[in-house]
Amino acid sequence: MGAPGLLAVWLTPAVWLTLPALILAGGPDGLWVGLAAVVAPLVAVLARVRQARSGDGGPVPLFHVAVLFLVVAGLIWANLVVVGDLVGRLGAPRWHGIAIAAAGGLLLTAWRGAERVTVPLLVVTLGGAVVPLLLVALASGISPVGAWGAVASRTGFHFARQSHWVTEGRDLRLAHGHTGIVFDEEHRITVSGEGTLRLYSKDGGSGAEREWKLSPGQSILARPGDRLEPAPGMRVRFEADKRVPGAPPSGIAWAAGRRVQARDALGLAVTLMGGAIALLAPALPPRPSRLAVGLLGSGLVLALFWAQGWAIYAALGAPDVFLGGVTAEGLLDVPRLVLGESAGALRLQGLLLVGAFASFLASTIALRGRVARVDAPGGGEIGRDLGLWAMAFGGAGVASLWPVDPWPLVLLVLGAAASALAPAVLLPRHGNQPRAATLAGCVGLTVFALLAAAGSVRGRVLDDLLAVAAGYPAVAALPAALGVLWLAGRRAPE
Amino acid sequence: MRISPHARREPSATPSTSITHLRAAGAILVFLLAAFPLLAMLPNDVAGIRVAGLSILWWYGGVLAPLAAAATATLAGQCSAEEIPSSPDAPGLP
Repeated sequence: MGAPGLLAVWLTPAVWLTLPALILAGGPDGLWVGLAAVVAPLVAVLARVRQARSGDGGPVPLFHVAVLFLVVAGLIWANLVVVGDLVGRLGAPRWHGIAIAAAGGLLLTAWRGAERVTVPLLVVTLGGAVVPLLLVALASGISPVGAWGAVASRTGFHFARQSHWVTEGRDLRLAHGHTGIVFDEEHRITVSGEGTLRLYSKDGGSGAEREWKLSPGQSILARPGDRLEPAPGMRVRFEADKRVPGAPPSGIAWAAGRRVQARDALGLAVTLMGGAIALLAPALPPRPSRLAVGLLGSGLVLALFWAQGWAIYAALGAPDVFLGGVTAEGLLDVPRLVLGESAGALRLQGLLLVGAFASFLASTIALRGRVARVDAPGGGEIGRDLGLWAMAFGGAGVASLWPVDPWPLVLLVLGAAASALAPAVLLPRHGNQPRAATLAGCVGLTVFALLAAAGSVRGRVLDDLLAVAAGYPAVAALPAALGVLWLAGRRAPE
Repeated sequence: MRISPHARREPSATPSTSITHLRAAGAILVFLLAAFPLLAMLPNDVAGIRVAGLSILWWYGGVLAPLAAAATATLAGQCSAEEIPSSPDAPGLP
């Protein structure tokens, strides 16, 4: 698999579209994710070279094939969620986007020469991502470094007088990200249509929910700390020059970020590096050329630069995107918010959507190719098994009808890959023994599943002692699997 | 689905220099990554000092470290791979 295939496996839409949202939401916290996403595949390159030196070609345990298939299906699921959310953001039903994308991915499965279109699809992705950014940057009339300085010097992110949330109002459905709308200051909310609004207030230790049936033009007053409950279909207006709920307190606070939590940083790094080693290292040739590694590195760096640019110009020209928490699909509004309601802005939104679709298709081809590589003696038939992939796309498509946050899903899938598959790459001499590799993979995946399940338990002990393992289970599961592989590999007869 | 075993290739007997290259490159990549949170944790908000319009933390995490990581992997991967005997692109482990 060459650099384009590796880029398509790693930089799926769920990753490259989420990076600007994470940077916008968390400043340096998001940048850390971006940096880890760049470094992880490069670590996988070195792991592959090291693995090749120890000898390739142990038989592929069936357990590993099954886990790899489930990992790929999980990534397809996360990406279908993203495509559905993007389409839903433009006003069409989510399922339309999910159905078209899943059908496209499945159709490519039936085409034996699908690998040939990976590069053209990536070129379309590049155009779909870069052209809107360049035009938004030109419209802003400021360099990326200047834009960062302007954002980092802002005293706050406020609703502009010409914002559609102020002038005519927008559907509240578009404002609810992952955090809900929580107000930091007194704010008057005016409804543009008839309906019911609910505010959740916290007074002292107890909470209370208030409900109003409102007619067009009527308004309610939200106090600091109040949370506006979702009311899909309700059009509301906010006050001009008031802080956007969900935005950082100031540009200075955004640029400085929170105090970095070392345990979270470690957990994320292990998950991404382990996932990259599991997914990418075995797909690399034993002797990757300098050109291939250079192309891979350039593509990763370009993706991070794009994500930073998109985040910075969004914060500069479209602070409305902070409303209710930043989401990947919410960033689709940036051209319209920066350039205003125009045909050009709509075309840029469309271009970004086309780029995301192209990226999804390229990723499905590359992910199928990754699974096919474990069946090289069978001619990679597993990668073209229509029944199997119809099951994967169908299952992922149905699952993605239920809206979930795609980024935690990606981390969950990569963590599972890191726990079950990465040990065999990291300890190649032991990993070449199928029984030892299977045992280690089983242990890794079991530990991962137990910790992931425990992660939903909010006990104090868990929070204090095992928070990192519960939040990023691969931190404990990967070393456990490595230990088992090392022991089993030593005991197994050669 | 047919998953058949492959003949295992013997480990190559190569000098330890390329192993050292790989280890050094891996250490550099990990250091490049680890330096970001360490930089952010420096006292007196040293990472927030602006140089040519960007803070030190953003220069490092957004520009310098990614470029340095890409260059390190490109150079080290090739140096070490040159000493691996050429073989068909075996499927290897998943």
